[in-house]
Amino acid sequence: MTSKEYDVIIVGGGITGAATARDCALRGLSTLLIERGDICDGASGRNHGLLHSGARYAVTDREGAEECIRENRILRRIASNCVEPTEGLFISLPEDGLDYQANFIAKCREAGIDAQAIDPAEALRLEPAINPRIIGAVKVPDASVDPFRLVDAHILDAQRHGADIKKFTAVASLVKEGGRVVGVKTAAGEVIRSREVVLAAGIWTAGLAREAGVNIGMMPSKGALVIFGHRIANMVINRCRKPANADILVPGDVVSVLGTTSDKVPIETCDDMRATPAEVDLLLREGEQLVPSLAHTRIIRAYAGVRPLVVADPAGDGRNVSRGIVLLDHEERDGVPGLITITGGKLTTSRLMAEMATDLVCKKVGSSAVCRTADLPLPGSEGRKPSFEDPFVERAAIGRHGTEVSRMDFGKGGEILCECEHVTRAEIAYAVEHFGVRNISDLRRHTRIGMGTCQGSFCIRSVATALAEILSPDPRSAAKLSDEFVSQYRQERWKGITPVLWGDTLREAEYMQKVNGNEI
Amino acid sequence: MLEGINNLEQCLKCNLCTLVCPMMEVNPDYPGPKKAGPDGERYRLKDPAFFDYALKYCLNCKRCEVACPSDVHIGDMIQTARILYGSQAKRKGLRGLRDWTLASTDLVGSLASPLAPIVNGTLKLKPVKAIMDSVIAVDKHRTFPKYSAQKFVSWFRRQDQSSFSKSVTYFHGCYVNYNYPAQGKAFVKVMNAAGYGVHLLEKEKCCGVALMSNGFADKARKQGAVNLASMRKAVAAGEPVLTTSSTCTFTMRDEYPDVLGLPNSDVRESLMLSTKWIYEKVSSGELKLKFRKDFKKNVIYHTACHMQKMGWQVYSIALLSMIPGLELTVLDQNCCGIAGTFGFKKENYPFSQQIGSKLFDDIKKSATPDSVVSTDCETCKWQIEMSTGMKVLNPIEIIAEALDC
Amino acid sequence: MRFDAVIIGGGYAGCTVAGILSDAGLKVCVVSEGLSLAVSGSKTPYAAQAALQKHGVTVLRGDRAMGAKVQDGRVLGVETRNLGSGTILEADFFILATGKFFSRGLLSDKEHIWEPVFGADVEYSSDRTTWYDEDFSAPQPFMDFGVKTDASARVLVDGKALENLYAAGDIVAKGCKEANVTKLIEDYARRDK
Repeated sequence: MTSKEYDVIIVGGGITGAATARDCALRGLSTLLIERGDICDGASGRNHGLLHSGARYAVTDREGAEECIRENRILRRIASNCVEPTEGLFISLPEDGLDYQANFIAKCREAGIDAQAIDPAEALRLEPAINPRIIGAVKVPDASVDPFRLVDAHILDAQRHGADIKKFTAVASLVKEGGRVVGVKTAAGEVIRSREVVLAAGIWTAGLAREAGVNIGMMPSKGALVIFGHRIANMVINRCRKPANADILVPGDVVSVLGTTSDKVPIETCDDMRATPAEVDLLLREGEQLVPSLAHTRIIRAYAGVRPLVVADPAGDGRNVSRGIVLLDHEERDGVPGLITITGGKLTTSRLMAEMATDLVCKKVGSSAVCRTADLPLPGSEGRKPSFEDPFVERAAIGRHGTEVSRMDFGKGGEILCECEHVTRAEIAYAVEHFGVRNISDLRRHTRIGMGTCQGSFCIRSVATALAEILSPDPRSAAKLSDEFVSQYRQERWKGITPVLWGDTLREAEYMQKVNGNEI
Repeated sequence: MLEGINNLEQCLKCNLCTLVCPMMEVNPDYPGPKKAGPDGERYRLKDPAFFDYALKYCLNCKRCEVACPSDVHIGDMIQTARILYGSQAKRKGLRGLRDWTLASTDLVGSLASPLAPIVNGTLKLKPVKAIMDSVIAVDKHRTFPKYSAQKFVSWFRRQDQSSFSKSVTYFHGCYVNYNYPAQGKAFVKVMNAAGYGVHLLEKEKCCGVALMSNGFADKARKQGAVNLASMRKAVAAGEPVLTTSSTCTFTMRDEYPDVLGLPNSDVRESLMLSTKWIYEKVSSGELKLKFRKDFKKNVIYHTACHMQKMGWQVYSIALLSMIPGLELTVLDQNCCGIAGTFGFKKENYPFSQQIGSKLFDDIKKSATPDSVVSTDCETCKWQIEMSTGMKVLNPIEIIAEALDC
Repeated sequence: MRFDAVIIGGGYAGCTVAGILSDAGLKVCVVSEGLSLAVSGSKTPYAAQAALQKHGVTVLRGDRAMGAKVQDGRVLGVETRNLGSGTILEADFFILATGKFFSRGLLSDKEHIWEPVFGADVEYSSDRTTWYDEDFSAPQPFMDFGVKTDASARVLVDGKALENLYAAGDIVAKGCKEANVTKLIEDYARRDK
């Protein structure tokens, strides 16, 4: 690979990088996506899973809201196996007053967002779990999106259109020749050349750019979230007031996610983000206003991610196409050709960010290809939903992967290994073959293994054995590998469980400790 | 909805329920209580398409709930799912007719009783059983309980209960009324001997357990509402409502609110099995039972699954233990396998018999030539009589027999 | 219902104590909520309870102690969920063997840990970061939590020991005394004289 020169190398396997790789590949550019971990190591792997309708931004950021609703419609269409069209409610409590709601509806409509005021009684009928004190409710086209599935689908599509993907490979530095960025150098010392390098590495972008002599002011903003064990509400529940902490509850497949917070943190903490007990207590206090039963609903775990916020650059901050999305042409901005940064924005507008970045790359390399990402469906989204007629063991996989299930061999691998999430041996084999995994944490992102209430305490042994057998044909090293998988995964899950260690979660922890043999 | 009852999130996936499920041991197609209950429920909440047809194999024995250290209402979750989503797999044609017939005990009982000798004679015939087996899939091995020519309520109407200063109300149930009035007569004898008169409910319908398990939840609710209304009247008149059938009792106390959504907290504590009521009254000294000195019986007691779920076998056992001359053996709790109408169906029959085999063996091992088996559940009774040949008596019958009066 | 001893909890500790007391001729009742991780085997999960029942122990399987009648520092009886208020379990002495969090011998919320049947004393900090170690494989502080007992293994409630309530097994806090069954039998035999 070192001898090949790509048109573009994209650094970062989150949604921004993956969407950019897809767009570049679809336009015929020779593309490499390089990622230090599996996928979604940053904000893409630690967010709310919310496909915004834009309503939340309609009052303060009209342009951002318009972008959201357009992209919302596009993603529902092209990523139907990743997006659940749950719709959303913005509820008003007595202390919120109804004035905000009136303005809110008007601003939504101006931005092209279909906001409908509904009777509070009707809202309670639709969602019996919401606070019975509501005085108003507005229905909006919010939806729920699985970011891991979305990234996987983008990467698959990029690969199927010729892109190369290099996972588990960190970029140590950018390679410059004569003041121009000509490629990247991996941590292992390998040099890969390209005509353009696009940094889509979230909060880690600034560090990589700095070494190349480019200064981007980035401020890590931490957001903590909490996952409840089952689907409490089927619609996204928001608070109809000025955006604040902990005022969104999102259904995510078979769980519910409550968030979020917003605190500046030092860059050094970004590789080991954890939610603190104080953050959890805050989330619950506020969340109980939305849905009172959250006070005693079982919490599976708590986690935190970091948003890559870009601060205004007094020296002129390049081409901000919108206030949220930040696209930086470093040739123009900093006199460093061959380097582009695409960052900021939201998961919801990732396709648009990719389009902007790819337009710029095409301009730089002299391609006149047009963007087709809004029209072409992603792999798996060609309208396959689980039905009662499908064999039971296949239904969850169909729900997750849509048409991609045709690549799974349920005849050989119909045994369910993760019982909370109905993950079969066939699905595991598919994930290993198509995505490349190092351990169970990676496997989790592609299949939902261990994302249930037991967090792997029940199934982990059999999953570890199955994975080890696939990755290591030699039985002795497979056994050793299996042990490593178990201990690595248990420690990782533990990180998310400790901030919420009480009630049934504490009971589960005692079970985990005993089953793991820690407690004699 | 039934959020508070179907508490799937308390499940820790310890799988202790799976260890005690009788169906899992014999049927590889049954996913087991954890998967059918809390695991499945999480996905069903997202999309009813995740309902697993294999849930039809659940016996509703509640042994999973008895074993659960987290108090998850596993059995209730499975029954509720079958009611909510089972219509996706509604049985059509003759099997549907079969299920409806087996479940409509009041209707069939009222029709069969006046024609009892003919019906009983016909149901016994091999050719008839063969036809039922192949046409409507009722297994040909299965013995039907005989119908009684005189219904219990007809006999009771001729009993004078007016001389008693205190009374109880009796929920007799279908079996006593249409098939085996002797059990009801024994109950009346025991009550009268203890100084209590007996009243019947103003209006009594089948408790509905067979309707529930065969997919006729609305009809079960209607009948339940009638029963509860009648019970409220009895309770308002200061009388407890006593029963001699463990499954009817369990259904009306627990399944009515937990599975059918019929609130009953205003009558639940007054509705109980007669052996519990008698025991508590004897314990407090309010009631005295005098037993014959010459009474001798060898009794093997079987705890029915619903009895174990209520935890009330201690009462039947305690009363039987009070009877002098009664040699009592209490068996380990095992499911008899019939699960009401479940075991009548051809497709289920082999499972029922396999599940019950441990119990049948235990009975045969403990039995002497003059033993009788005793249990509080009539469908266990049919299963044990058919599968072991032993006679089965309800504890109330034995108590009545042993009374000195 | 009257017994010599009532054991609340039918897991490893509860069944062991029940067996020893029953062998010594006492009339014993065991209240056991669900199966225990320790006692269940893959073939005969109820084997221990079945063996006890054969020896005359009353096992209330799938039942839970809801509360106790305590008077003048002495436990008079325990009410269970299944048997209800009409049948109080009375005994000369009681043994709390309800296990830890898994078996719900101890309950917890965001800030508190408590023992639900008697409200026994549990030592813990309301700062729950002290309940665990961040390293999964390290010893976990919460595995040592439990009720406090005096030197005779009697359970402390509001600092005072209940005269006839003892504790055994996981429910006992680390460092506190667990019921000495042999001594209990001796004391019981002596009391008639």
